[in-house]
Amino acid sequence: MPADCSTKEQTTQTPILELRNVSHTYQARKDEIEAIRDINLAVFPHEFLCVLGPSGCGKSTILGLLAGFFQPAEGLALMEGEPILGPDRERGVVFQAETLYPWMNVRDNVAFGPRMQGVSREDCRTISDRYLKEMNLTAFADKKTYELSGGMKQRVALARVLANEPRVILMDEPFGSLDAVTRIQMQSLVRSIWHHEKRTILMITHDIDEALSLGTRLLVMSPGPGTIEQMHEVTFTDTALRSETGRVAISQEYVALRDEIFESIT
Amino acid sequence: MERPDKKSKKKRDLSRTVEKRLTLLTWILVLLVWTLITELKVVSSVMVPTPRDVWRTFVQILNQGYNNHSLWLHLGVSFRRLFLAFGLAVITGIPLGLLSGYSSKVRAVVDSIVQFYRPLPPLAYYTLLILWLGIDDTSKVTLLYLAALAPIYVSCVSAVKGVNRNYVLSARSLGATQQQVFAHIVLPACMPSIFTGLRTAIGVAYTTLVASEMVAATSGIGWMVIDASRYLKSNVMFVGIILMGLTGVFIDIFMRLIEKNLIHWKGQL
Repeated sequence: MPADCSTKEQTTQTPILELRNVSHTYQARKDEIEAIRDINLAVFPHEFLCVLGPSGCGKSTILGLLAGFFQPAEGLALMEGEPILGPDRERGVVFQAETLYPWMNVRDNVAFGPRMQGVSREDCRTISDRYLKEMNLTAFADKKTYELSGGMKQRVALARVLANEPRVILMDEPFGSLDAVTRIQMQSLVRSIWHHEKRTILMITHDIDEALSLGTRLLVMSPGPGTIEQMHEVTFTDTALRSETGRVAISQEYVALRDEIFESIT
Repeated sequence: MERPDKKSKKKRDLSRTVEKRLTLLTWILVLLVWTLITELKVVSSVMVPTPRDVWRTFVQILNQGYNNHSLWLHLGVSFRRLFLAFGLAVITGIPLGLLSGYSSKVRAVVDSIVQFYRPLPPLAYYTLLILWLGIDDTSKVTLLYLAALAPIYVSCVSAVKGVNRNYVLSARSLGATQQQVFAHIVLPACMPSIFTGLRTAIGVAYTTLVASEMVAATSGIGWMVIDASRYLKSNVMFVGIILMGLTGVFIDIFMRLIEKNLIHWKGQL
């Protein structure tokens, strides 16, 4: 039985993003491929929701629907009760693949959103300065994007989304292509931004540890067609916020949950 | 760990000088073989003039002109035709190609026409153009224009189709409107590929230039070669051909220079 995943806080808070009974199919040549079936999902303010599942379970479809890249075949994709009709600045997206614009330098990439909204040149500079500093990128402001390493590129991508002040940040396996050490550093960075700036984040990942150490709520999906199988509310990220190393304390509870999720995915 | 990658610049420069020397050596060899076979009379001087003879002819044409026109006039007339046609092809070909890349309906109209005339030998329809537009420069410029238009159009269509979808989606998610996406994302993303098309176009137009000057012309560097061939003046033909080769190389170097300074993100998409 698919778990009902819009429970708990529903009584006290209204969700920012919502999928209601959403099914979606892809047209691949002559065949129709059912990506997800009857998904119910809600994203509440200030939570860090991780959608976890093996590849091909339809998690990227969920992100695409919420971002507005395409519309659901069945059901509703809503932002604050209104149907999502296309991508807009309220939902910032950090992609797995690199999407920095190589014809702009690092600073112009970060200031892209505000500039498109007609923010003045000086204000754009102030905004980009702030987020470059936050991401430890100040020294690289005038660099070309293709001169940066993989981790730095994703920091620029993150800064570019943050600078645009979206209501929700959607992340599609943002650290999937990074090496282990850089990935852990990026996770700490995202955790601290989420905590200190009270951001709302939905992250798609196939990495159980990443989901456990960052999320406040986890949705576990299974493939063929993608359905949500489990929901867990977790607090491991708090231990990382309290710790001096910035890493999650691996407790017995953590290991037990990790094993449980691992069993259900495989 | 998080350092911008730096390739070994020294090693790269060194291999470049080696390659430059190889190129230079090749041309010295060509010149040497040319000198040997002509000075030793392996082939008749009507077929292949000696390098000295070609140089003398060059100086003579430079000083006295050819057929009562100075060399500069011949070159000037040719380049006026070339660049006028190329300019027109750029102004019309880029918007047409971009539009065609965007809209499958526009593509349905324009594409088949371009694909039909593109593989035709220019001389095949040049005779028609002369019939319609007369024997003066208009028909020549039109011919070169059509020759240059096709590669520009084709490169623009494929450039638009090849734009990374995530660039467009990310820009839309950052709040850019359709027009902003076109101006700030699609256009710069297409630039490297468009520029490759421009370089091909000017090359094709240049090769077509001689063909156009073969018929009903009285000046131009291509005409000079054709005219000299009628009197078996192989030395003049050599001068003309070498000049055309060199100017072609210079045009390409010039285009690459613009490309390098204007489109630094080429190869980074």
